[in-house]
Amino acid sequence: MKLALKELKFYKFKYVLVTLILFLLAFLVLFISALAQGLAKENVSGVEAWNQKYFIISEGVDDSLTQSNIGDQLDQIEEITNDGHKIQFSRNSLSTPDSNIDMVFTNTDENIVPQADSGRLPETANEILLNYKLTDEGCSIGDTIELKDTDVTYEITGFTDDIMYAHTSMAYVTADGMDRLDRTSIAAVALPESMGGISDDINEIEDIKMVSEDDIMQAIPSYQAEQQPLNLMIVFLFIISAIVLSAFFYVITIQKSSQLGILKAIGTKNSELVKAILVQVILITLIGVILSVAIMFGLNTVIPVSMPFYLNTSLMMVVSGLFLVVAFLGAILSLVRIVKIDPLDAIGGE
Amino acid sequence: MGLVINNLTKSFGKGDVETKVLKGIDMEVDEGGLVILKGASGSGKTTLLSIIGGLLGRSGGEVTLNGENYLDINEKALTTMRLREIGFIFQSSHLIPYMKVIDQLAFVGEQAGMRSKDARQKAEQLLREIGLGHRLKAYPNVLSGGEKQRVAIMRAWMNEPKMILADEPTASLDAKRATEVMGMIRDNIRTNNSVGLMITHDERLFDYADRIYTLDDGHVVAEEKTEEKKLVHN
Repeated sequence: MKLALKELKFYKFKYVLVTLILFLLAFLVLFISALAQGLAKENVSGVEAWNQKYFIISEGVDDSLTQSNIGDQLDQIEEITNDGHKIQFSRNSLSTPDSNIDMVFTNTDENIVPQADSGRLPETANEILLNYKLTDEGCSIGDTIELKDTDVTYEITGFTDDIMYAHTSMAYVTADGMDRLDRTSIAAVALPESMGGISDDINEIEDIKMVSEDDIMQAIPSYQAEQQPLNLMIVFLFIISAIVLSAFFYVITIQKSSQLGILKAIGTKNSELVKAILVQVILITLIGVILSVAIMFGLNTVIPVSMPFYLNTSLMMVVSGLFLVVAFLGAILSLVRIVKIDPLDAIGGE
Repeated sequence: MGLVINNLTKSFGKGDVETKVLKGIDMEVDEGGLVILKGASGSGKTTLLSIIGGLLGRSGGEVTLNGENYLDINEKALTTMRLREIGFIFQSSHLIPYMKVIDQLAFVGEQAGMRSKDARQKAEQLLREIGLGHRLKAYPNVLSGGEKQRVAIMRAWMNEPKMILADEPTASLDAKRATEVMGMIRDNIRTNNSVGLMITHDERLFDYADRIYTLDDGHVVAEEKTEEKKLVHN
């Protein structure tokens, strides 16, 4: 430990540069991960907010909620179960103070109650709970907003974080509130995990089927298209990080081969030298990663809400943990080199 | 009993490319004694020193220190032996650039199991004894060649080894410093009753040794006792 710290202290500039590179790599990985998460949230957060495991939807609509209409089969479904949440969907445009925005309207009911992160839930037919991103369009609690080209208005009672479907903000109104809209249909019945057993009975009904929450999410075209390249980018960034760190640590080890050989000659054990390198790698990585996490959290407070950017503690912990693993893998080559260093080479034996 | 070397051989390569570097070396160094090895380049001096120091394997023969055939122990035990019982002094001081002078010695003591506080106290005492009390917190890059070599010698002595192996320890020093350093090595070997083996070509230093072995082509070709040599000189 002392050996590692003394070296870090003496060669401050060299190790600060390595830490800086590591910080930049970690920052890039975290930033892209947060973007990927943000984009994912813009696609599926509305579905996640229902927190239901199964959905009964129309057949032949590629599992798309926007195309599904199970109104004709509702009676048959209710003969099997009456516990589901009837999800009404309606695409409409809202006139906000700044512009017109496409919205997906859906309903609250006694089974599924969204969380109002500010304000309160709608209670009457002319009240509405909006996605938080609408604050960026000039909407505030107490404002009255109007459906485009109609006389239908709603009063904003609150906002909630992350309710979007396929990059479209969602709005919660009461069932009566939904009746005020045109083009409203019952798109699906959402069921909790405990209702998985009724799938055979449901699938017997003509033109409908029961699918999982994951099927619904994967069916959103933009979700797959965005997540795959971003995830691939993150994987490659980890691989690049491993290669860069490996090269850094290896070159540093080669540079100090002679010192390591002398230390071995005077009786320092391989385990002591390996420990010193590992302490340095872990310390440098931790500083770089902690710095990048801190800057990411700082950035999160100034990034506009309209930008798809989502940070959470578990994501930070997973990425930081992976970075430590990657740094450790990068150090393996150096560790092998240390074990192979011959003290005789260092002292110039014949 | 000291150091006893019997019929020590060392070859590199096999078959047609086999090169015999040591061809049956016999040698003895008494406790408290200092032996100088000399010989032309390629005569096998450093190879001999490396084998005795446990840095290089031997092909045949036996080396014992105070009756113990220590070269046949495993690598880990040999590393511990190098730490506790063998002190190396190299041609160049080979100090660790990122350690302060006091830490160069204290580190070796701590590695051998001394408590950090005790190791630092002993390191400070040794460094003060050789006039480096004012350099305790200096890094090697600000020391003169002589100061560096004195630190290296004290580092070799930190764990009070039973054997000191030195390879041209005064090569980088001027005549005054060389005799100073040599006197220091000689005194420490006598005081600690350890065994000293040193490679040097500097004839001015031969008088400090009890015995001088001349190596040529892997053989000991001459063995002189210093007193006899002095008589011849006189």
